[in-house]
Order: sequence, then structure tokens, then C-alpha cells
Amino acid sequence: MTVAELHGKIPTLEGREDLLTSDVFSAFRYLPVNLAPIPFLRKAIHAQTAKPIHNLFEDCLAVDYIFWPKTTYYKREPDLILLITCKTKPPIAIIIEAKYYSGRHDVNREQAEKELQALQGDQLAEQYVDLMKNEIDLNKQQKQMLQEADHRFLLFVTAHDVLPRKITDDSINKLTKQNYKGDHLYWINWQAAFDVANEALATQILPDEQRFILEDLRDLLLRKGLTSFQGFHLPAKLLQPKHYFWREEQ
Amino acid sequence: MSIGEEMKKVYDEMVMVYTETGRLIAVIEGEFAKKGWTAVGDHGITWDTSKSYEYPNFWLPYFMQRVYTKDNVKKGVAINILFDGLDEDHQIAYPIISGAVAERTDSLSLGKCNPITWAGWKKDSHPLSNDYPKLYQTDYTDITITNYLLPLDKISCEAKVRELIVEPLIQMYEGKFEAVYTMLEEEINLLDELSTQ
Repeated sequence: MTVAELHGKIPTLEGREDLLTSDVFSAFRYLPVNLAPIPFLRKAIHAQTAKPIHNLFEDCLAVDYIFWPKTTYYKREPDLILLITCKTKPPIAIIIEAKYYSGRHDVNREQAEKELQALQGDQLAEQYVDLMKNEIDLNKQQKQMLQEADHRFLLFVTAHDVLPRKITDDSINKLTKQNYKGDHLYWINWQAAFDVANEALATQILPDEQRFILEDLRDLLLRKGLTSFQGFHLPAKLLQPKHYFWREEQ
Repeated sequence: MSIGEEMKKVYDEMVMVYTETGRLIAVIEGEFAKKGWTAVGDHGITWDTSKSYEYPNFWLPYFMQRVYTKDNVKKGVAINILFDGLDEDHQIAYPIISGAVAERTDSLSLGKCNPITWAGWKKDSHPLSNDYPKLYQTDYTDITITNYLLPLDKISCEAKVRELIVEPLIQMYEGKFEAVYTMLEEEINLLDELSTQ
């Protein structure tokens, strides 16, 4: 996250999904694991049942952030992989695909080898399968963590206020046809990151360096309109003239 | 501020009110989805607007409605936000949200409909009982609706959405009116209290 963006100095880049991904997850990276990233992940909901993510994150110690990794089978580039180290349990691996409101970035596989056509170029489905099959280009230590991960899921992050079912159902249907259950697909919105920052700032006494990061994150998401329902604002005091501009009596 | 600037401000304020209403509906949608309820119909929330230059007073949507069902296509819960009166004889002093349980008594499935918008306001609407004077029942020929009316600005955060809308509606759906009334009595209004007529 840059202060320039917060002050509107890079308007041409502000709508970029990559910048938003970088803003939010780099802020998380600089914060204690249980202050921001884990509270954020806990707000994710299941793409089929809309139920909150089950109690996976009890004893998380650290999160490795791997930005824009490559997958090795479908040659995809997810926005992020999180590899979470836990105290007593195996690691957790999460692929994050981030958007604003746009749909998936599907590709036309009609000219591709037959094996690559199975998921019809569906971005989410292909990344999902690559995650399940360990098909991700990582360093040796990260690869080891991924292989040991017995909980792994794809987290679709968007700016929608509610679960964009048309997109996720379509991907799940394609996965189901290929004998994947699709039950490791979750969704969350950016507004949840605003809530995480807000809640942490409101409820905890934090060292300056953490408070500044959370305040900047909150202000940036506010600037981008990515906030959740905060009640109704008090409208501005208006003149309420008898007529605004058309003064002729009927 | 010039008149022109004032007009722009009024417009911006209205967009903000709609934006916040959209977020409120999204929270309601998410809460019901988590509990296994499904929204009926498409994403549309309003009707009875006009695109014609002849009816500028109908350019702005004045109500927003969502209906949710769970295991019965004839019976469900609904919310209806009202920003303006329903007609000359039914005016409101401030925006309200109606929380309703609706059940069709004919062969059709429950959907978004005018009777939900009008629930509590009809001439034949009546208190559910002497014990629950702020819960209204409206019996149409093909649909029966029980509802309550809550000033919209009481919904000040997500916790209030759960406390004043989602939980009471689920309890009301299950016929637990005493529990509903305990939860809501201090917050909801009699029709006379919010009407300007």
C-alpha cells in the first residue's frame, strides 16, 4: 500500500485488481497473523452452503505469502498462495483469486490438448485442480508445505456484497463433471478486510506500527468504497428551498 | 452554496441513501443464506417506477423488497423497505422497514408481490392479537401476511440486522410470537406512530 494511492496520486492505477490485492495482502503480511489475516479468513463463506469457514484456524503460527505464483499443469497465475503453519496440525494451503466485480478470466482451450480441455478453460476450476494436485511452482520448502497440507481451498475474493453464485456455481458444475466435489471453494469480499481493520482498531490497543497499517488499510478501502454496512449516515443539512430551479407556478 | 450545487448535493445524498440500503440488503441476504434460506426470484428489488417524463414523481424507486424461502415454497419471510407513502392516504414520516412472514393460501409459490408492500397498511389489516398490538396481520384472498414496522434508521449496524430483522423473522416464521414481541416491542412502531395521515 502506498500513501500516494491513499491521497489519490495514482488515479490511473487505482482500479487495478493487482494493486488492490497487493494493498490488502501486503498490509496483512506486515501484521501479526492473528490480528488481521486469520480474522479475515474466518469471515470467508462456503460457495455452496454460504456457511462460514469451519474452525480451521485455531492454532496458526505464521503465514507465507507467495504473490502471483504459477501453476504447472494449467499454467495459471493465481493472485496469491497462502501457506499457513499451525502449531499442532498440518499446514493449510489457500489459493486466492482476486477480482473487483469482473467474472473469471477464462481461456479458450478449444485448440489445446484434450486433457487441458476438461474444465473448459474455467479459471477458478483450473486453479482449484492445480491446488489439489500440488501443481504449483514453489521453492522446495514451500512445496513441502503444500504437500503436507491436508486442508486446502480456493478463496475467491471479489467486491460483490453477496456471494456471486452465478460465477461460483458454474465453476463448481465444471468441477463436479470431472469428479471433483468443488467443496473446497470459498468466497469473501474486500469489505471483510475493512471490517477486520475496523474491528481491530476499535477493540485493541496496538503498537503504532500496527495501528498505522490498519488505519491506512481502513482508509484505503473506504476511499475505494469497499466498506460493509455501517448504518445510515446523517444527510447533509440542505436549504430545502420551495423551488430548486423551476420557479414558474403551475 | 448555489442552487445548482445544492441540487447536486441532494442527488449525491440520495445515491448515498440507496448505496447504504443496498449494503443493508446485502447483509440481510448473507445472513439468511448462511441459515439455509434462498432468495425468491432474481436480484430485482423494486417495481412501480416510471421512465416517462410525465411521471417524475415515480422516477425514484420508493420501496425495495426481498423474499426468502427455506423448505416450503408457499411460505417465507420478506423485508420491504419503504421510503415514501404508498398513496395519498398512506404517508410516512420517515423510512421504515417491514419484516413479514407471508404464506400463500392458493396453489402458487410465494414470490415478491404488492401484498407484501402493503402488509399492515390495508384497511382490513389488524393487530395479530391484544397481546401483540404492534404485529399486524393482513389476510388477502390468496396470501396471509404477518408483519411489523421498524424505523429504518434503527438498523445502525450489522448486529442490529441480526437482532431486529433476521432472528425475529425466523422466530415469527416458526410462530413464536411471544419471543418475537419480546425482542422487538421497544423498537417497532404502531402504524399510527409512523404515519403522517
